[in-house]
Amino acid sequence: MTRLKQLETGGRLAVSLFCLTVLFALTASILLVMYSTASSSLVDHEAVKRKYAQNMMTGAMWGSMYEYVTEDESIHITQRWIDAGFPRDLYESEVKLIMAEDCTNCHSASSTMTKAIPSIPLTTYEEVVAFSTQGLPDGKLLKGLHFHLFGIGSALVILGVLLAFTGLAPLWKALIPLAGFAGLWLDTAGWIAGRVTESAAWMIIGGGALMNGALGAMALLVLLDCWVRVPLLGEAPQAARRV
Amino acid sequence: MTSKSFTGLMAGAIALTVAGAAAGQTLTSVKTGSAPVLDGAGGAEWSAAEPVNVAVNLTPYKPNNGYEGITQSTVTLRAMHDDANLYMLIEWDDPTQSLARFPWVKQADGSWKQSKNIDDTGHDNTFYEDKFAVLWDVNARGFDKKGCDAACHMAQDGMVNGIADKSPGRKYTTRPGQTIDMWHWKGVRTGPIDQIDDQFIDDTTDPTQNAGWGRKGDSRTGGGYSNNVSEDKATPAVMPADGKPGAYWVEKANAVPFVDSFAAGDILPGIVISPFEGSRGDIAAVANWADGKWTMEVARALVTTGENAETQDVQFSDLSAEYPFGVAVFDNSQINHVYHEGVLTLRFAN
Repeated sequence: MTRLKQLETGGRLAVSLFCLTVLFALTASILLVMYSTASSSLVDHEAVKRKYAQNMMTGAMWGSMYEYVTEDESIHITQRWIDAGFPRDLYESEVKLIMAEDCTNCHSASSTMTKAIPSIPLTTYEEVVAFSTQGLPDGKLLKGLHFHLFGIGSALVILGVLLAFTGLAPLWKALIPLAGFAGLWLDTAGWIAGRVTESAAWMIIGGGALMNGALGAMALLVLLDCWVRVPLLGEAPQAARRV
Repeated sequence: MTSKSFTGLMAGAIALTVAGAAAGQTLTSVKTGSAPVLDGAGGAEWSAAEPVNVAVNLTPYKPNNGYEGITQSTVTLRAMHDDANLYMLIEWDDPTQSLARFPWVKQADGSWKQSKNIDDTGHDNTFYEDKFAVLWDVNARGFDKKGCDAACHMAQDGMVNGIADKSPGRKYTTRPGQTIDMWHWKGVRTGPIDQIDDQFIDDTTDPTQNAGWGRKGDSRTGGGYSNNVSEDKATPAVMPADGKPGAYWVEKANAVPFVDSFAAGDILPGIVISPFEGSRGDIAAVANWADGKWTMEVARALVTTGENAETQDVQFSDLSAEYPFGVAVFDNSQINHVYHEGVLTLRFAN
């Protein structure tokens, strides 16, 4: 069977650059998750739970938006309002003021500030409720699923095919891509399940680890196999032949 | 690279990312035995003061009549103090020196017209002046964490705090009794007389009480600036005593009643200025613009004692304490300013 090493230099270079791009994207995605949850830990169950399986509002207030929150008590009040089922009177007397104080300068459809986020307005009761229900809001969930499934699914297919042209044992050639897809499905299923159960945070953490681990492993193995002989890949040097 | 060093690198990058987004910068004031000469030149007398560079790159709105000012700049701050005063050297990049604030221009038909280019929020970004602001926390909720943002309230669909308002936003504190000290240097109105306009922000949200909402001038006993407009608003009210056209301001002590002996195209000042007296004139400042940069030297008493000083001024009475503040650059703009997120902190070294 043709091996990656048998490709011309240009072909191996293209494959290598793709693998490096995947590795760079993985690094960025890990940083993004940590930044959006304001966590210094790679696996922060509480932070993941806040972001995906509780509500976006207090998840963001404890997370990436924390620097804009005047004081922690504002988040506690908002959480009590959510836990109480979004009572209108508490919104008018407390939550509305918190939104005005900390959020709506940017989170307004008419905001003109440099960091305006007019797509997520928080200026009315209905808008705030929509952003405060458990799990990711509809629009954010669908958009995330769309990009995640298409993008990562495509990367898994490409890397899985490239892996098939390495000297790796056939069992691993099947298991690693399978683990990647299992992780992807578990991760995205966790996003959906996060709307009904906080346990979904574990699905997201497990799925994410499996998916990213498989992507990273495949990218690294393919990259190495293009240029060096890796003992575990088991390729005999004499088998290398230019095509 | 080993896995441990890679992990270390990653952790470092993450820590920088998270910390950079949330943490402020600290300006340390060093004790000096000799007060710097305020000449707007900076120089070696500030060499003991460690500089802090603050990137400002955010603006509150986009004027609809064109805004040619900067949208980012770097502010370099240095601070020193002695037993009586705090001194600051403030430098910021601004490629243009803007002085033509609402100047009067004689027209070809002999009439006079005050140059203005007002946007739909009622503010000018064409015929204005360069400005600089430093906001200091007195006791405002949230300022020690959010900085100037604690006072910023942007309009939503033409409403600020439930009141119809065409301004893009207003400044006020959110609780009665809470104030912010505002040092507002104005390149034409206070720059030529070597002062900063000492102002403050309180919780006023009723424009019928104060047109500037929470933004107010400190108590004053005299001095200040006023528009140079005749009663019928058709001409300047006064002109420089030497009768020469071309100035963008005239000092009150040097002004004489307007007599029209000018040629078409001649310019007369749009503003009459004089030094603030009382608390509003607490802050001395000398600024110079050269080579695309403003350099300003500032001096203010560590503790002020004027009328309402305790609520209108930050008091540097405890040199072991930390003092939250924020800065903003105005490039030829009435209210559009270039600012930073978060809060800066001043501390005093022994």
